[in-house]
Amino acid sequence: MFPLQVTGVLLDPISILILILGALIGVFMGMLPGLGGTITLALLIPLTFGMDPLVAFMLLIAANGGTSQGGSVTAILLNTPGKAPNAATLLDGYPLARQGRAGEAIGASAAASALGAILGVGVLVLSIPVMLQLILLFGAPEIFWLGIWGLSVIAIIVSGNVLTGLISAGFGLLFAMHGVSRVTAGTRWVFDIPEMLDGIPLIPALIGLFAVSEMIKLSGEGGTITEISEDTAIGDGTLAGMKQVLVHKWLLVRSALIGTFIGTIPGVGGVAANYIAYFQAMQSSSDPEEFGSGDIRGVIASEASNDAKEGGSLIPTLGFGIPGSASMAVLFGAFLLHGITPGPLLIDNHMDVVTVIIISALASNIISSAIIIGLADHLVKITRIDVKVIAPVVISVALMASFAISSTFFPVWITLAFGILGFVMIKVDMARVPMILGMVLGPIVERNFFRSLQISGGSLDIFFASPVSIALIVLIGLSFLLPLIREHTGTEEVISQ
Amino acid sequence: MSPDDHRSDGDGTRGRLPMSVDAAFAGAFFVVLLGYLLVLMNVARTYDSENRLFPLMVGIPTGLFIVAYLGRLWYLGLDTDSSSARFDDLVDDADEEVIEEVQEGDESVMPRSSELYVAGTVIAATVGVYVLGFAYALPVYIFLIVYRAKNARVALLVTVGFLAIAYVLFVVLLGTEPYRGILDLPHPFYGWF
Repeated sequence: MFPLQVTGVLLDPISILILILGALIGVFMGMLPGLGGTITLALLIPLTFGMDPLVAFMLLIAANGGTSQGGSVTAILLNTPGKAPNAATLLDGYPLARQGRAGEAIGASAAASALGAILGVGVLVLSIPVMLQLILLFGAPEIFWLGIWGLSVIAIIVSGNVLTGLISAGFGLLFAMHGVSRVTAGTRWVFDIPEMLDGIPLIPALIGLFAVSEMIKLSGEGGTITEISEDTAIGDGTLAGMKQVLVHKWLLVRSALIGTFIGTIPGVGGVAANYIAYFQAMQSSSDPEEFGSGDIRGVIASEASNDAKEGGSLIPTLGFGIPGSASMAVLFGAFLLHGITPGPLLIDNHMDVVTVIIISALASNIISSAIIIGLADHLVKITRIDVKVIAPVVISVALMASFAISSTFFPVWITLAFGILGFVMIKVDMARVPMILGMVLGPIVERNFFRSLQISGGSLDIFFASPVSIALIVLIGLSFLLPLIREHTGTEEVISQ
Repeated sequence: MSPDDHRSDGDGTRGRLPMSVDAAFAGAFFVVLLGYLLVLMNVARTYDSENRLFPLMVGIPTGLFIVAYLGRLWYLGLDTDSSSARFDDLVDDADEEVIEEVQEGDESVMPRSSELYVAGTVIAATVGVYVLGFAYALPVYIFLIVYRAKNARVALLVTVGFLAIAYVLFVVLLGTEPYRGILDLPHPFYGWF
């Protein structure tokens, strides 16, 4: 579980600095609306190109953890969540700030986030031995169906519209097939462009789809966070807030378990985890009418769930190669950039990377909590920056990052093209995550499809031969029913109460 | 809220255009996607059986999904009743004043003139980089955009700040030489690594 080389990397002072730097970047980016974990990872990934993979993932996971905590600061102090999963935090966080108890809210948020993350990662660690046994059941046909299931779940659940989600995933698979096929060695859809022989580069497409498109949208909207809310200083009380987390320890545990569970379901996380934990806290209390007017329990529940979700989302990501969240889908790009194939064999083949990811997820939340408690008063000034100042800088960094990957200009055109495409997709409410996932999983799915046919001598029976394959086919079918289930039960009822 | 959003009706829907225009825009986008897909499928027909198998397996259902969506769009108009839109509405009810400010996706489908302007500047900046190189095009791009939004002093500060960060990050730390453009103009940044 802890190979020697991993221990060496983790104990290196430079590695600790990398973790702190990543957490700082994440907190900074998380406080700015539209610059959540997904865009942060999209911009950081190409910058890790020359790094040792273990160090690269330390930076990326630390940054991803920091964005979550950064969003809680703006939710509490300014009534505006930096990213949507912090949305429930402001329901009680901001009223607390208005009562002069911002410090208490920040302290509770930071402590609940850190402890929630520890619980979520704990569940992840406990599930690894189970996953190690499960992956033995996966051969080529099972990996094929697993990829199809991952795509269908993300396309159907995460998107606002089932059809557009499936179209997005379909185009992701088609984009992945451009260039020379590593399976058949044939050349597909090159259109006489020499650079297209290597296919559409994933990282520049990812940067365009998530970073550039969001900046175009934000720039068009303009403004700053503090145009709509008053600035509120933190003051004292952070220690009192942290103590409140221990007072409500069972609420913390329940909320963290809810977040972890929801995080394991691909595409459901985010806002759902935040709100479901919040409403279970409200429903289980003897005085639910206190919620929404500055009850510390609301902050504890939402933040514990929000950060535990990250640990939960790592379970399907690392164990089965199905991203548990949008940022995990982007993280797949980092895996590929560093020569690591995501999928059920990841834990078996790259235990060092998995270990670093787990430790980094733990450490980054603790470090981010300390940053928040120590620097929130100063960091919140960042939110005064006009998005029209941020956007051209982010776009410029995105273009340079795309060029830096291969020192050729073609990826920059790809970033531009996917940036415009991503912007239009946002406007027509078409999810972008399925497209990226299609581009990541496409080669894996196709490779295992043809490998299965080779094993069976061309017979399709191999795809229906094992219980695991049948189970995955059933799950694919259920994925199509999930929007109907969500429509009539669960989330809608909880929120409407 | 965007200062040039004169179409806001004040109840939080923020500049919704007539549904027919939004549906036309969405429809046009999916027609373009369908056209691109048809081109891909037409080319794939010329490949050998092994090379065209997977493209057809993916392309045909995707094409059917697009046709189904266009048909739905034609018959029902834009989908304002998707599960996530309903979920978003419920979230909005919980805190109407604030949550809607950070919902992903604008409620107005048709891009605003400001968004089209920004998209145009991004395209122009990329073309500028292709011709002049990063060291010339990006500082000009950043300066002009920030100058238009703020003033010359802030624009200069941001531009110089970006140049410093970009130099440290890409030239010093990553060791990459910034793209020089097809004109290959001389610049003091080149050769400093």
